[in-house]
Amino acid sequence: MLILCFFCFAGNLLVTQKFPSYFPKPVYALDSASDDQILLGRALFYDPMLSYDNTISCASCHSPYNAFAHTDHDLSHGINDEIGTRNAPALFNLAWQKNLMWDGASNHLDVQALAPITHPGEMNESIGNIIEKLRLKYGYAKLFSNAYGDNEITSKRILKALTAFQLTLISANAKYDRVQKGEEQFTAQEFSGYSLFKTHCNTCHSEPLFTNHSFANNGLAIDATLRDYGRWKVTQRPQDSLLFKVPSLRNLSYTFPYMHDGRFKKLNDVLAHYAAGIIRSETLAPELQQGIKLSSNEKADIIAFLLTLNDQEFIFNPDTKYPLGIGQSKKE
Amino acid sequence: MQGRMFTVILAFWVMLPLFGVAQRTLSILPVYHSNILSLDSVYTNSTGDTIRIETCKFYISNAILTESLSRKGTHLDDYLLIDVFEPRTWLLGKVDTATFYTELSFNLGIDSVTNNSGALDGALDPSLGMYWTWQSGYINAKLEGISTASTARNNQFQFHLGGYLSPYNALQKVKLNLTNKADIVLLWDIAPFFDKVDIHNNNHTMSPSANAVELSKLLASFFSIQ
Ligand code: HEC
Ligand code: HEC
Repeated sequence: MLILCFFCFAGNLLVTQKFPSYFPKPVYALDSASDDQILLGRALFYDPMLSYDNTISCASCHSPYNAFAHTDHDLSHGINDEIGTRNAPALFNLAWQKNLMWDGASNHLDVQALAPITHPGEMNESIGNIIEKLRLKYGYAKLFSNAYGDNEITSKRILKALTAFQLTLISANAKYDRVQKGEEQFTAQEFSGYSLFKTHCNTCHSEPLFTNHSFANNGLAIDATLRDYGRWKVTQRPQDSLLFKVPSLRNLSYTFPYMHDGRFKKLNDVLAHYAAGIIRSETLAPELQQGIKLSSNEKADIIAFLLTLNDQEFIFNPDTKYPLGIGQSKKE
Repeated sequence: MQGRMFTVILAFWVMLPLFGVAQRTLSILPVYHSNILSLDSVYTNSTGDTIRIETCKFYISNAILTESLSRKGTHLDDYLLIDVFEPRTWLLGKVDTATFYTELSFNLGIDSVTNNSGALDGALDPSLGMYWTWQSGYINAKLEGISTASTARNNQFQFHLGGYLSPYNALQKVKLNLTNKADIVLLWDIAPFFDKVDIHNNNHTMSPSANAVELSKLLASFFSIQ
């Protein structure tokens, strides 16, 4: 049935989003959704109707101006200002990411959305109820029939549309990318930072996505109140204790604070951690056993390089912003 | 004993029109000892504790009937969600009357490929309450109710059994021999569960774990061909 859908929507424009030739093959098909499915997903992503009291949308925690992260908040905030236990990650280049969430609890982008929607402290809603609300809301019947051929609203259609939209969030035009394509050049400091990066960071934060999509313990001290053991919660294997998803390092200027609990506000704090703050434990990554010895100049160089991973075009892309006039009631 | 068995058969015979009598059917018959499971009944286990079952649902998938001589397998419908208290979900499929099958095999639960396939519909719709939301994966079997043996709040017991990642893959393969060409009635007697599981200490499992695997094995061992 999946395959059928793939073929019945052949005409797509937005989705043929180009990614550079030096990117690996994505794990999700990028040309499987139609423009109308993407548009529906975009309307849903920005619609607070997905929450119980119609106040919180996906974008409340994943703001487009922060590369779809939740900036300023170390831990995410949901319905009734409930505070979550983790920092909302940035959303981009999801097409290359098999396991989602800081601990990989989610194995597919489609089903990831069930977590925030149903979480009592996030959106506190049920899919069944959302379907009822969307049936009554002006505009959605048309969006659904454009996207799927008829206006039936099902959980699968909602989830697939959210996925379709999120797969269009591709960040691939930072200065780093323009250098790769030969269009620009690194400054001397950026170049020095790039070399240091390749020596010390690239095994985990691997080019060009700046993550190897694995889980690792990078030596953070455990937070005594949150007691978050990361990947262990999902697999219950002792060797996974304190392992967290290696995040991409693209767009860092927009996605602070950093780490799964948002404990660091500045990149300086992050580098200070790697240089002198590593906490040893049984599962600490082998690369980090001795810490990463860096002079203050070297730290500055690495940061200069990291800033070349900011992708302004992605942040200001109008195609991924709040969809004006879509799914709004006539009166509003 | 004879009398009880008779009740079961009689009750089942009464329900046959639901399934359409003309064809040979494969269906499931959930019982507590020899009584058809009912929401209104209070059962007693071997230690004298009372048990009320409030929710009992599970997935049967990849059912295959194997022919005696050729060993050829016939696949039945892909994924079925059985709700013990909804008799219309008991029918697993219609079977060719002419062929002599000697073996029925199926999975209790959902395989890992399907668990990794994103949003699905029909019996696999993630909004049916058989999907974990905070962690990907189907709940293969859900068993909830009240027992005097349970020390949990309101004497509840709640088992959500599932998990597709090794080493806590809860999927169970069941294989049974068939001996004739009659309707196939897959008897599922849950009574031993409440004799074998110490509900006093083990009344709550909501995520993949060693316990979930053990309990799934137990549920899978309760099938027999009537
Ligand atoms: C209350 C804040 C909040 C809301 C609302 C919210 N999220 Fe999230 N999101 C988070 C947090 C926190 C995480 C990380 C959770 C974890 O790792 O356990 C996350 C993780 C994710 C991820 C995984 C990203 C990755 O790289 O692993 C995706 C995708 C995502 N959210 C999409 C959505 C969608 C779609 C919606 C709307 C249906 C949504 N979120 C609503 C806070 C939120
Ligand atoms: C052994 C693998 C590993 C190495 C080597 C490594 N990191 Fe990390 N990094 C991680 C993991 C895992 C996290 C997430 C940890 C968490 O949140 O618990 C992380 C998080 C980060 C973050 C926060 C990103 C965010 O969005 O929250 C930054 C910035 C970062 N690393 C930079 C670096 C730099 C710079 C280097 C080299 C000096 C480096 N890392 C080396 C594994 C590694």
